[in-house]
Amino acid sequence: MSGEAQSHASRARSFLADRERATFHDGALWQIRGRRDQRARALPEWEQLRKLAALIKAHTLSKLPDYLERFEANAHKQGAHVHYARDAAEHNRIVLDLLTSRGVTRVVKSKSMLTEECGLNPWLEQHGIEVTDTDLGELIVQLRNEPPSHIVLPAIHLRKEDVAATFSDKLGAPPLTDAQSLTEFARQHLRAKFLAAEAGITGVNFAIAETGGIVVCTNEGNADLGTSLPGLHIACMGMEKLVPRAADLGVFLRLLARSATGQAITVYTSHYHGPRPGAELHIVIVDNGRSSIRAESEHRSALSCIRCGACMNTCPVYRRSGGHSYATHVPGPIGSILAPLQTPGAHQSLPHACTLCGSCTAVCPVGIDLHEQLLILRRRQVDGVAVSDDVHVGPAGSGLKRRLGGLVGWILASPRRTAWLGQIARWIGRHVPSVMKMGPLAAWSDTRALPPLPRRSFLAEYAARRPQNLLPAKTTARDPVDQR
Amino acid sequence: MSSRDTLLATLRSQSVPEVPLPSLIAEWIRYPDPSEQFRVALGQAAGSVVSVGVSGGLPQLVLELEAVRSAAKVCSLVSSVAGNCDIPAAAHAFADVDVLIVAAEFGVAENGAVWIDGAAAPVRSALFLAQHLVVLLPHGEIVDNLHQAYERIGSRLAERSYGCFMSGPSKTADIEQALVVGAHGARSLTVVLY
Repeated sequence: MSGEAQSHASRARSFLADRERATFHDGALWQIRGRRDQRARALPEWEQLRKLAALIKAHTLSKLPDYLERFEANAHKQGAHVHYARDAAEHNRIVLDLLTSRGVTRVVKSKSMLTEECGLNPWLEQHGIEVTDTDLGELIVQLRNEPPSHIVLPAIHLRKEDVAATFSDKLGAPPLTDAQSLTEFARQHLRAKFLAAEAGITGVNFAIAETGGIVVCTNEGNADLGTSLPGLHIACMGMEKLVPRAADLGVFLRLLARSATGQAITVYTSHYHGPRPGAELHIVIVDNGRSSIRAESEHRSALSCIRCGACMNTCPVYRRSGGHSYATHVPGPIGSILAPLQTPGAHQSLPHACTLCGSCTAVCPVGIDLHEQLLILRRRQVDGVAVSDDVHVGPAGSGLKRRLGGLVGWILASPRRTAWLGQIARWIGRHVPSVMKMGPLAAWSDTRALPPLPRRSFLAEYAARRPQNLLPAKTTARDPVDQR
Repeated sequence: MSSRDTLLATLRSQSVPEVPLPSLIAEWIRYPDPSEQFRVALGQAAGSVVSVGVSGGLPQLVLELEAVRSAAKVCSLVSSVAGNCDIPAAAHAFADVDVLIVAAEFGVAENGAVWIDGAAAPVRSALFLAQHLVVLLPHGEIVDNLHQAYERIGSRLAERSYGCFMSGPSKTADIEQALVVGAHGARSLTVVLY
């Protein structure tokens, strides 16, 4: 089944089973989208910033090997160590080696989608290292043994009662009922973890080629605590995180938080150039399929993504299906592009989890043509570049959709056959509407109300009302069912 | 071949048409009253601004701040305002500091952030372990937008191992999107304009 045990649609069904929760999810994300809009409108230069950001990223990607070398050389001058990893396994080995060779057993981690992508946590835990996710949302999902469901709001799929139960079960918290006291409990729990940590792992929001520095953005301050206490800081970054100049940050930081949460800037925007005095900084640069995306002109711009999550917040499918229904580390529109490209043959239902409404493209701060790329991925599946069967029609088997498409094309090519199909459909709709909910049609009709079908076709109606019109009489004669 | 060389060779073998690097020179937003815009933006980020009159009285004003009055341990990284304890030398020793007083170099009107040069906090953890932050910012040292901010920092950015834009106290909305101030870092942030 196309490299997926289940399709997005079937996973979404379990999310939607809890109506109240699904409605909350939809509303919460739409509210964030609204805050993003307000911020965008408050800046007259918003569209100019988006265009600049797209150009800066396109430029950087076009000269990526040069910028990687420049960044590496400058980071070395700053006293940082730079490592390269071709794939997730190599990334994980590098991190583990850095930790074990220094005898580290307790690590605090701030949010990094890359380490989710690489499966770093389970790998380190297998090797006896305690890893604590310190972003509040990430801590919650880690304790529940779940992946994050959103790249900026990892626990947006949960309610506060879920969090209270998790803290009580896993951390022995007293009964807590509000976000304030739950957060305070996590603060106390994590303070102890920060103070005891021997290493801090962070992601990287931006890496500056001309200075060899890295920038990490958080609202909670967890990355800063994790890097300012232990003697070892490991920063993990996808190779597309580079920007050429420090001044480029002016463009990206103005876009990032406004697009993500509707804040003007994150609370902490930390710039690291080399290690703290007496400490070590290691930067791990990861490919893991990114270079093959760079090779594809139609999809190269997907590497411009700055992981703000705006495309998720606005997506009518994401909001109503939840991040877990995508079964990939980055969900939503951008994830539906990256995942099938990074793992060819897998995640084939994701490009179909899209109405092609284009809202993602309209809000993307770096101008990625998301819905166009999703359409291209679908077309490729049909053209056999990566053939998929299990899309909307469920487990109906190979090529069903294509054969149906051929049949429909044959019918619609002839006015006569089209009129007959109309008659049959109207008759079924009036007399045995349950047929519309059977077999492969159910995937479409399950979630839609069937409107009352008219007795006659438009042409028949037209002919009946305008008996002297120009339509040839035989058109109505071909509509025997409707002649009653 | 090492992973580094393999990756660079792969990237170089790809034919990617070069896209020119755009100029960043443009008419970026300016505010008629940057100080007022800064106050509004910081307020939206749950921080606050107090202002010392022209005649001085900075230490007195700091002592009267709510966070300082109720604090047991006040640590000052600024010579003009005294704390009530020695500045610890070890990163972990700031864990019981109630209030940290630190100097910002300038503020940014569009987003209410202050730029804290790493040199202002030789032990970096102080900025995040202290329960409350009092940030001293000279009157008039407020730029309109982030582009001006980076221009102003210039080459010093790469000369410090650390520098931070800080906009308000630590916060989170990870539980049901309910805003909670005081996630891991400071529970409050007060900018004192002097």
